[in-house]
Amino acid sequence: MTSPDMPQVVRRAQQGDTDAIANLYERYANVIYRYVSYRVSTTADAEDLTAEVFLKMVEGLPGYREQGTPFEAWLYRIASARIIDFRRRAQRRPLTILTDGLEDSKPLPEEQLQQRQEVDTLRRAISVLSDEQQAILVLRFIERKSHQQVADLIGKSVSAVKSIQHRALIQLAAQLGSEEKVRHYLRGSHD
Amino acid sequence: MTDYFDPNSLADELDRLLDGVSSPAPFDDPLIETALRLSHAPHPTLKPEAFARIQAQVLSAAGSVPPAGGSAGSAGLGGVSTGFIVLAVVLTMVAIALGAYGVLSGADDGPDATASTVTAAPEASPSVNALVNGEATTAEATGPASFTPQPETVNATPPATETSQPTARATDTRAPTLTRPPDPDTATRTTTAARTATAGFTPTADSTAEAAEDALPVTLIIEGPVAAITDNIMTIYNIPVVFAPDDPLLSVIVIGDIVRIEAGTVDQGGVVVIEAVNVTVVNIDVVVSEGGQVWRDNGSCSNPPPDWAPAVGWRARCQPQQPQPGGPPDNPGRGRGPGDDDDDDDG
Repeated sequence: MTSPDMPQVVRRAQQGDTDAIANLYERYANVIYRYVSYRVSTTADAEDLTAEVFLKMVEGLPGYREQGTPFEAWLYRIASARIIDFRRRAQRRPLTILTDGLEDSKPLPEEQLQQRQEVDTLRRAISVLSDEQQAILVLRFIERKSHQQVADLIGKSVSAVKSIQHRALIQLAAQLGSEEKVRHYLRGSHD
Repeated sequence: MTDYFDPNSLADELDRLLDGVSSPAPFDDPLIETALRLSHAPHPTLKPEAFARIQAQVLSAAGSVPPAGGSAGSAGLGGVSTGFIVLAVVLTMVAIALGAYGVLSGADDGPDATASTVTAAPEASPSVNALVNGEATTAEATGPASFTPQPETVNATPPATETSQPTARATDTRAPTLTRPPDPDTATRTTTAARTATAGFTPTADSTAEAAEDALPVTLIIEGPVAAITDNIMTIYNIPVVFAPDDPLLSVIVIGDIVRIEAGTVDQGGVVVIEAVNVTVVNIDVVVSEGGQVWRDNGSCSNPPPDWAPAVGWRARCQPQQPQPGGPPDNPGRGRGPGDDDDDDDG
């Protein structure tokens, strides 16, 4: 969502106003963190990638031009690129997946444990999807963006988003152990 | 039997469910189940310390990137008049504080000192300005108060200067790339760093005392693995430490090296900056000549040291018959003593 003052904030940030840059960071830090969190293995990686995104933001601000898409669309694109780059680097060395999960706010210990397990399960399942599928699922269901918003953010048509979403959910359902149930979908009978 | 959804009908149904139009009645459709499971997944948030740490990194970076349509080294940014005033004040303070270092010749004149400071380190202006604009409040003096551990009996740490040159560089007005706001969290972080230092206050050794006269007083010791290096800032235990931009150690220290940094603090317009004064690479033999040349023991014998480098470890490892050229044999900063045949092991 773009607030009315966002263009002004961005312009000030482009001029080097650190208050404006801090404002942007505060607005989008957790948004980007959520976006990357389900696409990497550990909290530390998610934090590092979040930092990279905003450092890239600062680097690219002077050249940023509003082109009819929300500012956060640009951040999501940076995040997607950083994630891809991170995966390439990770492939060169084995990763030890730490099931540290992600910390949420004010949970009970048992509840927290269950949340962590759920997050780890979802992370592993999501990790087999394509970058595009991951992005759409996270934006749609974690960030609760509409189809139109997702389309604007990733630069695709609404119908393309719906199709990718459909395929992504089929694959994710299969990963999460519903392969029996999705057999009909996997056969492509109703695609 | 449940109808199977095509992309459009699935999308419509999900919209209804997620918008609360339809009640989430039990679905035996796996796609709906999966989508709902995702929508109810935990929403992670950055831990406060991670949030603050990343913010500090971002604001530091913001200070070193030229603004759109501007140029690096320009006297100010974005026409913010307050920034110019505060910039002048900060640069004057820095000039006065570092005047004894002999870097600035016109330190006595306020505005001129500013100009001369800019001349000396023109690249510093944007970062200082950004710093100042970002969080220029009256210093709550969290820094200095936090950085004064109890002094202990002086046991000189001999390796400090023999392995590295003192790295206090008064010209590093670029130092304010650390733009942590003067809030309690900052103090907490720095206090933590003091606690994690493996030594208490160890005043600089004899050979470093000379440099200490001209350098910042050492009020903080940080020893640990280098976690990140960004330009001239090294991060150890989440503590950014600023080096001189031309410090030769920047070219040889890598992430993972264990370093011992004796540092001082500079209060710059309400932001406390930690500047390295003496640096020792603990786990690797690194030697810096007076002329700024650097030699790092890479663990093999194929990288012989220059004549000016004591390189006790290398010589003991690769030239066992050679007499040791000076230097204390039990120098922990060198990492190796005579007769030790083990290869160096990075971090």
